[in-house]
This record gives sequence, structure tokens and C-alpha cells, in this order.
Amino acid sequence: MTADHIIVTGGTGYIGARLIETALAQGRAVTVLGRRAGPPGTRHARWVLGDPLPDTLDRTSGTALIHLAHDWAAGEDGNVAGSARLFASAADAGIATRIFVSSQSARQDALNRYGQMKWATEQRLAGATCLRVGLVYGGPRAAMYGLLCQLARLPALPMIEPGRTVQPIHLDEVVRGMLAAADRRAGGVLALAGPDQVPFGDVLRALSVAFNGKRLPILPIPLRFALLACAVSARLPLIPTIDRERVLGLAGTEPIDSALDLARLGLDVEPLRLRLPREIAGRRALLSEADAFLGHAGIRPTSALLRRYARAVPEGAIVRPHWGLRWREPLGGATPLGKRLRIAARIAEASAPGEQMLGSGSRPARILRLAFDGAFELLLLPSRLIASLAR
Amino acid sequence: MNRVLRDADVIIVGSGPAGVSAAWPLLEAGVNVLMLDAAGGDLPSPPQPDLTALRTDALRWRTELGATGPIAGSDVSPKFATLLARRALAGFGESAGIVADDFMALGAHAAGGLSRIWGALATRYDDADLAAFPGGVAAMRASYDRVARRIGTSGGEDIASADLSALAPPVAHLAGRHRRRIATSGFEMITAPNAVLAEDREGRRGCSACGLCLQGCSRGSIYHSALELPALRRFPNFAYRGNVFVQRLSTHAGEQLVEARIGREAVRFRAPTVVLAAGTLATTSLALRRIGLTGVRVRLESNPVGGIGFVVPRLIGRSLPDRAFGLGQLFYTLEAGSDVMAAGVFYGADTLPLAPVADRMPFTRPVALRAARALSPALVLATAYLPGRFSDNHLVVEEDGAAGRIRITGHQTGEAQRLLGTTFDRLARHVRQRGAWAIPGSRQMLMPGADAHPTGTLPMRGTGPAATDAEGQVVGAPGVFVADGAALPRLSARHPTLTIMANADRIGRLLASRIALTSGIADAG
Repeated sequence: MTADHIIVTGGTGYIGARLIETALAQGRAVTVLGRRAGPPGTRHARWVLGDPLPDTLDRTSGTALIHLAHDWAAGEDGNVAGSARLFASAADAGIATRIFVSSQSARQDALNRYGQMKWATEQRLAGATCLRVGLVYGGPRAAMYGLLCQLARLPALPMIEPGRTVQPIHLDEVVRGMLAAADRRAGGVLALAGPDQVPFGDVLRALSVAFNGKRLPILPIPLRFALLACAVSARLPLIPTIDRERVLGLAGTEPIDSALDLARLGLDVEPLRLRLPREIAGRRALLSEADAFLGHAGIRPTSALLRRYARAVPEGAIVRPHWGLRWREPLGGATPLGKRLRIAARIAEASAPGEQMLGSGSRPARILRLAFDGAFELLLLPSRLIASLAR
Repeated sequence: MNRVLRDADVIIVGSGPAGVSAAWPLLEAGVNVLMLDAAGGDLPSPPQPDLTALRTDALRWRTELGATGPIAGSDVSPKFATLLARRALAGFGESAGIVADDFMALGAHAAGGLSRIWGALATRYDDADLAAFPGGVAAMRASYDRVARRIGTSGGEDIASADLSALAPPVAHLAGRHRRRIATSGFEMITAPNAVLAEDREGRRGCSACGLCLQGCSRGSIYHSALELPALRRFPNFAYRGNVFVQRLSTHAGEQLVEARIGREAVRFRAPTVVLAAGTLATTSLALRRIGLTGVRVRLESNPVGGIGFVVPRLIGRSLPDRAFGLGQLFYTLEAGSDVMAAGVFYGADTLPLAPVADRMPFTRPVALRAARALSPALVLATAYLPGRFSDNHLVVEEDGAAGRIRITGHQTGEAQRLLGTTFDRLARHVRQRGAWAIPGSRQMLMPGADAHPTGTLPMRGTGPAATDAEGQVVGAPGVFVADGAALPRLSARHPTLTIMANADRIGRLLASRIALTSGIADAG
């Protein structure tokens, strides 16, 4: 059965906004419950957590409720009781498909309050579908994903237990999963998380490479020390506050087996590494790599040439030197960097700016310049040799 | 649903040089011929009128690298990297069901087959090689002459009397020095005998040295067999069907059935005789499945091949010439061992991308590019081919789906490597005596199959289970003839295309007289 009307709470959040966008694009009607109205094309009913379902709503048989709202200020009682009230009134109103967006960290003995609260809420919602969502990435850099993107920009990252695994899933995949649940492809408690266990440190490393072209050194730190840092950062001005809840949320996530649930929802989840290059930030990083490499090859690249380079390497950006490429170009073409510099050189050579660079000048001038460059290249050799060995 | 389409006396599968060469004598004898061709759609032609225009074209990268997709590494021969070659070769391996291990399995579904991207080298085998052919030296020579007259050739002249001004400057330098030397034993050189028109002829125009040979000659100067299709179509007894993927052969009531796919539709064609000229790999798959010889290892010959670069120092740093010729310019044979004749061509590098040179230089990229550009007008590149008997490849044809499967296992023997090494050594010495220096590190041995000369899987008068008789008829399948490289009884180091065409001409001629004879008997009865 297709849910052609979706009632959404938490529609302004990271996931909610994309959910509404996608549902509208698929031609579904959307009603936003909240303090503020949703984007154009949606209906709005005023609602805050704690209110029952407004009775003015269209509740035809193809209606599904997706409850994403979470109020940090409302505390445990506010969230659990508020959600229960919403779902009870929705059931009374005859809305058969009621979806609660929970978390992979939802457990009775979760380390963080959020996980405990989500678990407690799940217990109160009889007959509802609970989606335990894993680590969501992609799309606008907001929520946890936004924080991770920021962390990945650091020159080095101290990190709590970087070997602990998470199960990344793309924002669009999560939204597709929610809509599949709304269409009643599957019900009950479902894991909406990537099927692969990825060490959390690797997620940050992948973000750093794909979005910044950099290697991210990670310094593992014990959880106890991290909690101390949270406490300190909360008291010191001028430095970003580290949220204790988030630290615990990450540390406390237990692996869940999601493959079967994903299959039931009819959802293919792409590995993080393959998906990141297609994000806007990944694409931008690749174009910036193209600019650096084509520039290194000796031309001022046009945007068409940058795009051609990007299409030649769909795997996305690699770790690259951001300065002194001439001193650090590897000697051979076997390394990823050496290979890509050769691709850049081929594009440069086949371009109009390249022809201009290569074809200009008189014969004596060209030979003189080459002799001069050849001598200079000898000076570069030792550092290039070291760079080749270091990789 | 199966439809049986169109009858003919002879069905020819493939429009490559072999198929076209077999068609001519049949058509001239009045035999009804139906040519089935996998080709559909046109191949790209050069986007610019000449090399200088192409070099300065702002969109040249699209032509050279394609608008999208991965960029071929410099280990791929530039001949196979052009837009034309990429399109011509695309999809062949997949639709022919080829799985290759250490073998570059090349074939083309384009009209004209692999001749769309061949090097146009029209060499003839010598008498020693021709002795292995049924019918003997005389029959093959007569067929060589007929084919050469038909397609138009140039070059192949003694260097002492040839006009060297048309050669690329470094190659001309080499030839000029060769002219002044007294003959050396074990090394012979002539201007390359090319299937390229020097003057206009029958709708094709003479070579203008525009330099876009590898991009697809828009003047039709370089022969490829699709250029002959218009002439064939003027025969009322000729019919041509494109977009036909032949998948299997069978026999019914003494007739040959050709089962094919047109788009999604399965169709069958019927004729008393089928001539296979689909290219060695596709032909072998069809023939072996027809006689039930599946799962059996069959020898596949190819020419072990390598390349080496030379430089003429006094030409370094010159501007690239406006006029150029991108194919072989000089042809040599060289004694690589007792009774081992290697062969190859010299060509200039002025029409080629710089990457193969630049990628080997230890400089940083900007300097490597400029150094390669400075070298390129001074470069002479040489290929070296060994006779097919030094190859060690096998294929197994399997029944798998409608089109079958071909598993190819290539192997470069130690002996082939040693002989190529000797060939390079000797070549370097001869070339050094003629004023050019071998570039250190430029020697390259290519993987088996990179020669694009897969042949000899169904050798004429062969003794193995997979063989054809003296007339190219598949042993075990009367009425099925093989006209392409699969039937070659011997693969010399000299490029085989003209020989394949001559043999196809001979087979077509024999078939025509056989058909005339049987229909004569029928008439008499």
C-alpha cells in the first residue's frame, strides 16, 4: 500500500527536511506538524511535543505518520510521554501506519540518555514501526554529520576509541527506508543502518580524504579522558564545546544486524567510500584536486578540463600534497598520486592551453629552457625520492 | 520466435577484409551472396581537416580521451586509444562471449571489422611461408596481385630509388643513411608497402598527409574493407544485412542454417553454403560449436610483438611538421636467429600523443611533457613481430548461452622474449649505424594478442581435430568454409592481412567454380 499522505514531525531537522523534499518529489501529500510551517507544497498543523494529533487533519486510508521530533529541553518524561500521546491519538484517529524514528543506540542500558529515551519510547508505542537509524551522513552538513565534517577538517583528531564500529547510511537511503516503511513494506522494529561495520575512525578518515584530499591522523584517547575533556570544554570560553551526550552516544552504540531488515525494506545501501565522492563536498574536492594537478602539469585549466579529470576518476579525491607538488611528485606512476598526475598530464597535453604551452617559443629557447629545467630537476630528485619511499 | 529469412547460394558472415575478398569472386561468377554483418551505425571520422587544426582544436581532448570515462594508460597502444578505435573495438569481447587471461582479445563489430583500425601494412609472405599454403606459391601470388589491384597500394619500394621526402624527418634521416650503406646481411628494409592510395581512385582520394590516419582517414585513402561495400552492392546478386549478430550454425536437410539475433529478435538464414569471415575469434567459436568440438583446447597463433624507440639527436626541439603520415613508413625484416625472421615497421611519432614517452620520463610532469614534445619530432618508433610459431596461446570454446563462450589463455614464452630481445639488440645496432640512437628504457614487450593477429585456430590441412581442408572447408562440417585468419596454416612475422585477403580470394574462387560445377550438373540433369 502506498502512503500518499505523510504526516511528519521534526520536519525542519536534518533528516526531516530531506524526507519532506523526497516525499513531495514523489508526488505524496505532506503535512508538517510543528511550531513552524514546512516548505511550499506542504500543509501545516500547529503542534508541539506533548500535544495529541490535531483533529483537523486529513486522515484518509493512505496516511502514515512519521515521528522524528525530539525535544532536548523536554527531558525523558516529555519525550517518552509526548511521543506516546501522539501515537495513541493517531491510532484512535485510524492512522494504521505509525513510524517512530529511533536510534541504533536505543537500548535499556544505553550509555547516553538519548539511547535510553529512545528505548523507553519504543516500549510505549504498541503497533508502531520503530526504525533504529544508524550513523547518517550526506546531504547538508548538519547534525552529527555536520560535526563529523568539521572534525575531519582538523589537522589531527584525538578520538575516543576509534576502532569502535558504526554503520553508516546515507541520508537519501534513510529517507527511502522511511518511505518504504510508510508504504508498509515492512514493520516492527527495523534496523535502518548500513550493513557493514565500519570503524568510526575510518569514517572520519574517509571524510577527510573525500572532502579535503587529506590524510587525517587519529590519536586514540580513552573514554574516561574524553568525558573529562567535555567537562573542561564546557567551562572554557572560545573553544568549541564537546557535547557529552554525543560522545556517549558514539561510545555506546552496539552493532546491529541490519542486512535482513534492509532487504525487507527493499533498500540497497552503498558503502560510504563509494558514495562520498558524489556528495557536493566530494565533487568539490575532486575538482580542486583536478585544478591542482592540471596546474602542476603546466596549464591553466578550463572548467571543462576539470570536469573531464573528475570523470576519469570516479573513486573521488585522494590524499595529495597541498603544497610543493614539484618536490613531492613520486618518481613512478605506480602510486595513486603518480597515476593521477599522469592522467592530468594527458589531459593537459590534449588541451588547447597545453598546446599553447608546448608549441610556443623558438627552438633554441625551448632547448635552453629544457636544459635549465633538467638541471633543476636534478635538485628535486632527492626530495622526490624520499616522497616516493614515504608513500 | 524464429523467422527464417532470405535464401542465398552463399551466406558470408562478416564484412571484414576476408569476407569482402571472398565475396568478389563469388559475385563475379554470378553466385547469389548474402553478407551478414554485426555492424550498425557509423564510426566517427576526424573532427578536423588536418593535424594542425586538430592540435590547436580547443576540444581535442574530447577526440583523444573521450568526453567521459577512464583515461587509458600509456601502456595501451595509441592505435587502440583513439576515439575511432575505442568505438570500433567497443563491445566485441562481451557479445562474442570472450574471457581472456593474459591475452588481449581484439575484434570489431564495425563494418569492415578490424581493418577500420589496421596499420594498413600490405605485406606479402615470402615463398618459404607460402609453401605451407594449399595451392602453392603460384595460386597465392595470383590472388595477392588481384587483391592488391583491387584495394590499391603504395610504397614497398627499394629505398635506393624511393622518394624519401614523404617520410617523417627522422624516418627520412634513417632511410637516407640506409641508402648510403652497402647491404647488410640479415637486415632488409623497404618503404612500407601500404594499402594507402597515393592518387585518387574510384571515389577514394589520394593521401594528403593530413596526419589524421589514426583518427579515421576521412579521404578514404587508407583501405578498409567497408569502402568496398558500395561496389559490392552494385552486383544484383549481392545482398547485405547489418545489425545481424550471428550466434550459431546448424544444419538441416543438407542446408546450412545461420541462427542470428537482430536486436532482440531471433532469426535464421538458410543457404547451401556458409563462409565464415567474422574474424578469427568469432569464426572459431561458430565453427567449433558447429562440429561439437567444445571444451577442447585449440591452439591460437599470434605474433609475439614489442616496440622500441629511437631518437635522431639533431632533430630534437624542432617544431612538429604540419604534414604527417601516421602509419608505418619503412618495413624491415631481420634475422633474429637461425631460420627466424622477425619483421616490423618504423614510424614517426609526430602524430601521436606524448603520454607514452612522457610517462616514462623520471622528470616532474610539466618538464616530462615539454621534454617529450621536444623529442617527438626526432623520434623513430619501431615495432618488432615474431612468427606465430613462437606464440603459446590456447582457446577453449564452450556452449554457454546463445552465443557461446571463448576462453583464451595467453602465454609469452621465454623463447619469444629472448628472440624479441635479440631482435631489439640487432635492430638497435642496425639503426645506430643509420644515425639514430635507441632510447634507454624504451623497449617494451606487449602482451600476447596486442598484435591483433589472432589466427590459425582451424588451419588448412591441419592435423588436429580443429582444421579446414585445402579449400577452407571445416573438417566435419561440409558446406561451412572459413575465409579469415582462422584458416591460416602459418603466421609469418610479416603482417598477415593481405595474405588473409589473398587466401579468401582463393577460397572464394574455388567455391565459385565448385558452385558453377554443381549447378552446371543440375542444369544438365
